Amino acid sequence: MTAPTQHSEQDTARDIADAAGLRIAVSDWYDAHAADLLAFLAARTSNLDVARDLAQEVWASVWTHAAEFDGQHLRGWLFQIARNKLIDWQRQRQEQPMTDETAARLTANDVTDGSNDERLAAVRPCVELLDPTRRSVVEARLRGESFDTISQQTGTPVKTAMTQFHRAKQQLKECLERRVS
Amino acid sequence: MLVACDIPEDSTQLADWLEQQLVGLQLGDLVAMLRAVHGDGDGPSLEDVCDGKLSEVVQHGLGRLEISQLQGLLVHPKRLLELQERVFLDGGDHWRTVPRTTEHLQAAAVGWALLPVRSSPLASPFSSSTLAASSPLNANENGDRTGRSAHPTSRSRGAWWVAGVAALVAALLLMFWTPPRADSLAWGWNRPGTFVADVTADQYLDRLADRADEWSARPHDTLDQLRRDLTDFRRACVTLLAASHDRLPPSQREELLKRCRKWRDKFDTQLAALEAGGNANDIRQEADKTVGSLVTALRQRFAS
Repeated sequence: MTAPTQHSEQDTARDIADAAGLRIAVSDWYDAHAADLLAFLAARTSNLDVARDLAQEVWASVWTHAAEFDGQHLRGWLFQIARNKLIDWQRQRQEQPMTDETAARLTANDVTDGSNDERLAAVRPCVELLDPTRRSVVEARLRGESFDTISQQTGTPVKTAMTQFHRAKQQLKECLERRVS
Repeated sequence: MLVACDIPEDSTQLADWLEQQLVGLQLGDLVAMLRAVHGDGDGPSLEDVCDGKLSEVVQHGLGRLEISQLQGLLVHPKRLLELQERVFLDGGDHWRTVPRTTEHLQAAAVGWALLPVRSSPLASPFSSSTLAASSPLNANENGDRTGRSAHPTSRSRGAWWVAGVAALVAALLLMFWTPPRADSLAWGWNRPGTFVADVTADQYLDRLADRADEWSARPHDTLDQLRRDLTDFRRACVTLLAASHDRLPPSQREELLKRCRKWRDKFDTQLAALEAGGNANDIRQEADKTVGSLVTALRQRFAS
């Protein structure tokens, strides 16, 4: 998604010469970018509450450092702040203290993979519990294939394939609920 | 976590569905489930998965991909996270039209109410007590930092009552927030093409005035109607503030943005009054007056 035009971003950078202008600028930035920033953080943290907390930290930083924005690429600036907050968060969660050298090498993709690994660890055992028939239907549906296609490929009647998928979904749901509780 | 099980059966819907996941709050869950089912290898690059069409996708959306390429994104799910970042950083206007859920917009809106911006609107951010020593662009410059930011948040400040009122306004406002629609039900500035720079500056401002004036032809006899249209107009202000207005000379563009912020604030006040149980007739009259003066300002090129 494109940021507001370079002209308007430069205008807002100039606008923040006083506190009232700053509030207006940050308010506009928030209106335009908060939802996407939250989605970015939600995909890279373990749950929405953590994402919200980090988002608030990001915007608090934006408010404090708005005068440093040079008007060139607002989204790049905002998302760089978000990446750094993610790295800080991931650093805090390491069991062993992270060295500065390791932290310096840590990229946002590393953070991404690390946080998604938690969700993967939650769901993988449940997938592995599916019997081969249900697993096969789930794999096909999660490739985007229709039940008609699955039926043609496997020789299973459409309704049977739908039932198998529904039961697999139910089994996954119950397994995940047990793991969470 | 089971959002992956909602992958549409109809392959013609897959692009739209996947776009909504890319900009929504459940992408992490989707990616995790796809990884569990399809395996965790890195696989081909994002560019290869998109078969050389990545830049088109970033500009114009997933509709540019064939079904096989969309399926490629599903079986190489780590690429979805990469694609999300590309879209958020460099995405074209297409991605602005992808609907966000109400829950998503509410979650984003409520966060605003908790920021120090709201709680101390006239406080200067440039005092020594608020300027942090470290820049937010450097995560590692302070060896003794905890993972959390050292910047003061609203939790360490007072004025919770202001944040509370603002949170109420934001949350109630967003209860009725619907994603932008590209269909024929959109009206006023939400109509497609409103901000396209295909006319002269005068025609552009006249178009804005004409579309804003559609308010006067719409029924506002019930609270729901009034609330809906105030919310729509308020949302349209956000879109106007983000548009480029390429046809307008700088001075007019600046004036338009300045006025729009004031109109937006008035709509916020009127919506808050509505939700607080204020007199609907009075609020309707106020809203009519706001829109009337907005239309006049546009037609008179901000002379009024």
